[in-house]
Amino acid sequence: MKKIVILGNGIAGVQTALTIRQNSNARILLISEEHPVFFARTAMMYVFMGQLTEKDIVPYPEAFFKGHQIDLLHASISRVDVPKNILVSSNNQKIPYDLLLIATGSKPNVPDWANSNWPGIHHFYHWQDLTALESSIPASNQPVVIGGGLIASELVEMMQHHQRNPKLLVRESYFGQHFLPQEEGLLVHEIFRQKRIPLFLNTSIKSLIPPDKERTSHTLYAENGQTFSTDFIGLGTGVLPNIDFLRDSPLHLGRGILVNNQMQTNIENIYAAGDCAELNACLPDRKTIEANWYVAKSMGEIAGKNIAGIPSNYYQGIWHNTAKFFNLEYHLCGNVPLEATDNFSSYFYKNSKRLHSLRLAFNQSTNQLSGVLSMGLRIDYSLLKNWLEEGISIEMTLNNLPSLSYQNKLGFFPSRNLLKEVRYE
Amino acid sequence: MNNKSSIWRIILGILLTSFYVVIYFFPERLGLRIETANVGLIGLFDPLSIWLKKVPASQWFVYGCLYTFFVLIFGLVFIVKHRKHPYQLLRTLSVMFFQLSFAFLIPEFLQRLNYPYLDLKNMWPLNYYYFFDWHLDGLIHSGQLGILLLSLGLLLTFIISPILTYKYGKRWYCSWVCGCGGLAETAGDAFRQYSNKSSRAWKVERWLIYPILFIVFLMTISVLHSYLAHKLLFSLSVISFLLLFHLWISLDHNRFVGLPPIAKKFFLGFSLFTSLGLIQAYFTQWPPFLIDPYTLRSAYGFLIGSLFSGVIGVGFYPILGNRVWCRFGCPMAAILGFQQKFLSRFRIQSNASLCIACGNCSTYCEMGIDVRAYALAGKDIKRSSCVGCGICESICPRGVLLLSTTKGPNFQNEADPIDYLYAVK
Ligand SMILES: Cc1cc2nc3c(=O)[nH]c(=O)nc-3n(C[C@H](O)[C@H](O)[C@H](O)COP(=O)(O)OP(=O)(O)OC[C@H]3O[C@@H](n4cnc5c(N)ncnc54)[C@H](O)[C@@H]3O)c2cc1C
Ligand code: SF4
Ligand code: SF4
Repeated sequence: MKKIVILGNGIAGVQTALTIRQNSNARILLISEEHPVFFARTAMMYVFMGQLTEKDIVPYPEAFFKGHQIDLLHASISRVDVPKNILVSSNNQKIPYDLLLIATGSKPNVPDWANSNWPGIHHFYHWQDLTALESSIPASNQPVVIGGGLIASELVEMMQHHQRNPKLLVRESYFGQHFLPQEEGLLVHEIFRQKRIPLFLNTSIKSLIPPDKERTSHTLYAENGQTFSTDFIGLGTGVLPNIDFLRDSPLHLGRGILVNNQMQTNIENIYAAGDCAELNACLPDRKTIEANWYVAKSMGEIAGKNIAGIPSNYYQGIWHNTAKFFNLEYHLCGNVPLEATDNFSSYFYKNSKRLHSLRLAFNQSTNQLSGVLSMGLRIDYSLLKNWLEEGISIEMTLNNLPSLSYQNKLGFFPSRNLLKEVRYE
Repeated sequence: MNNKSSIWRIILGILLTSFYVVIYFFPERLGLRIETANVGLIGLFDPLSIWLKKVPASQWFVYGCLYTFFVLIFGLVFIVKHRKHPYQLLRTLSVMFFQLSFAFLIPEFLQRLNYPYLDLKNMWPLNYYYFFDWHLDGLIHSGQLGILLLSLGLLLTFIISPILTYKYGKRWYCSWVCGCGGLAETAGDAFRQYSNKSSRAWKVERWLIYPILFIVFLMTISVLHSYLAHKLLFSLSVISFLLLFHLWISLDHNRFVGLPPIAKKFFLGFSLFTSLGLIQAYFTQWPPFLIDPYTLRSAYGFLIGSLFSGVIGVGFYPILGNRVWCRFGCPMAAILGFQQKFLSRFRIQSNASLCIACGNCSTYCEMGIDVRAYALAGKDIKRSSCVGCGICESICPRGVLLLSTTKGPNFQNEADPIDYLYAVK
């Protein structure tokens, strides 16, 4: 019987294992160096804040894997011996495979002015980061969080939860400039204001002086001349594919592990999925690496099918993403340009007091809906995806606005006359 | 931190349980006096009781006051906590209203006017003594108002309740109206995460709640049999009801696909037992089931009415979660749950492509439903125990869940959700 080894027990690896199991009874070994059993990385924040416990963020108990004949191995892999079909672990254990899936996820991106080994510098990606954060909160004074995305916002929320008064340093002119139009970004600013988070915009750090014998704190220097002194730096500066251990292997690497749309690498019996995989081709308005939970999950499903012998292709389809900044939810489905372009316009509604916004972007030449972005309002993604696939017109969308709401009837959802056509500013 | 909180929970559990034991079984410890004026805690409530209904307080009056007080106070706390969610707001106002009026003020006034004490919303079989001779006699001999109240109660139990459950699910009662639910949702809110989510707990739940329903049923039959004049007519109606019901669940395959075979066998056994008991009573001079109805009902009153629904039902909030009684004991919940699962449009929609597996829904489900298992697999949730509190919907950080009453697909199986959803093909 074929022996399938899955390296990495994140959502991509686990989804692959489950999909294989649903379609075949091959032997499966799931390896990870991080947590002995799959957990929801996305929920680490809630554990930190005491809203959930470690047990709560483990979706499938260990017994579930045993019951489905998926063996778990807690080990760190340092090398893949491709010609011999062997994985080599850091303590030199050799693990043979017939088929290998690499799903090693991401690693934090460390700016060149920082060094992860300095005390007081924190990432927030792996389980170990959570433990490190937990042990350092009591001491941390005036923490500084750097970054303009979800992880930065979560770090700030976590620090604020423990009354540590964090500052948020953002390089861009508004929070989320790389994924939010300005109006929506300002809504996030509003929530930061309500939560009393000092926000430093246009603040790009150029250097850092770590603590030495005389001083206990770090000093950060920004390009705009500001300096910050702190003993806690939370880095929310993005992630990179976690593939360093593959550098001298015959696998074709770009920024990630290059795969075709069956999640197969250049080596026939090696597949890759999730954050570490880079598609060798993608749709025009999309990226070859889309490091998020949903993509990792569906890549895992496709990889699992192909490994189980059911040919399937990964199709990027219609983009969607969700997030939450403190209690402000973010929902995106389809293509919503961040800035004005010649082609796109949008209908927009915003209420800063209630922290709501809804944007329907459409193509001005065809009058077709291209995407919906909402803040603080839940939308029906399944319906919206159908609409977008059918190429629904903006008029039809406006006429059927109430059915877009995916929330209790008692809740507020803007009516058509509240949406105004706007050009982005 | 975890250990410390579990010690606190145990201490609180012991305190609450002891309070219940004292109020149910040793009221004189709280100052109840028969001959002389009350003293102690009960004495404190005498003025209020005399003002309301012109008699000194009893332990039940004190209990009613405290109960209502806690529902109102913690109801306000709950509202403040969930003020952003209109569903939670209205639902809580509703339980507060029903507790204050129907459960507390109206019955007290009825008593003041020399009518029987009656909480109209308290339907059979939650109100297990509804069909007891003294209760029926009390209503029948109270003139037109008594007859009106009696008919309203019957109408509510047999007509209005099934219709509302068909339209909205059992939540209309369990988390909008019911007094037990009212206390659980308000004063018990802080304990909802302690409900056990394991599939073993689910099994225990089913093996407790349905047998208790059948015992209530037997008891009611036995009491009514001794009360009613037309014994033969009564017995025949009960037997034909059971027969028709049995035919329905065995013949309507489409509707009852999700009913496990063991449940059908259990019901068949129960029907045979009941019918034989009634036939036996017709031909011999012994009562149905060979037990004196008075013994049966006082045993039920003590074991289920007092010990389970009172002492354990609330005393164990901090240990087993706030819906111990509703989940493991309440016969009303069993009936409404059956209707909800097989006859109602109510279900929770879940959008698989948005779930990040965080586990907030499962953790905070007071009924111990592993909501995430369904959500991750993209299955709608249709569980008989769901009381529709809507917390999973409100707490989900990604807008995955929606309490819905649109027509959905039939649900398949009552097996362990994870194993069922990932069944090995
Ligand atoms: C705090 C936080 C919040 C997030 N929130 C969201 C969100 O709301 N929505 C969203 O879409 N995405 C979110 N993400 C991103 C999302 O979690 C990732 O995209 C997703 O987990 C990637 O899954 P994966 O299986 O590819 O990799 P991972 O989850 O990173 O799993 C890879 C596993 O492989 C192990 N591994 C790596 N190398 C080795 C080795 N050499 N030997 C042994 N084991 C190894 C790693 O330890 C890890 O356990 C969040 C991420 C973080 C950190
Ligand atoms: S499933 Fe959701 S609505 Fe139902 S009882 Fe649990 S938390 Fe409440
Ligand atoms: S709360 Fe929402 S996102 Fe979290 S596990 Fe439940 S359904 Fe999924």
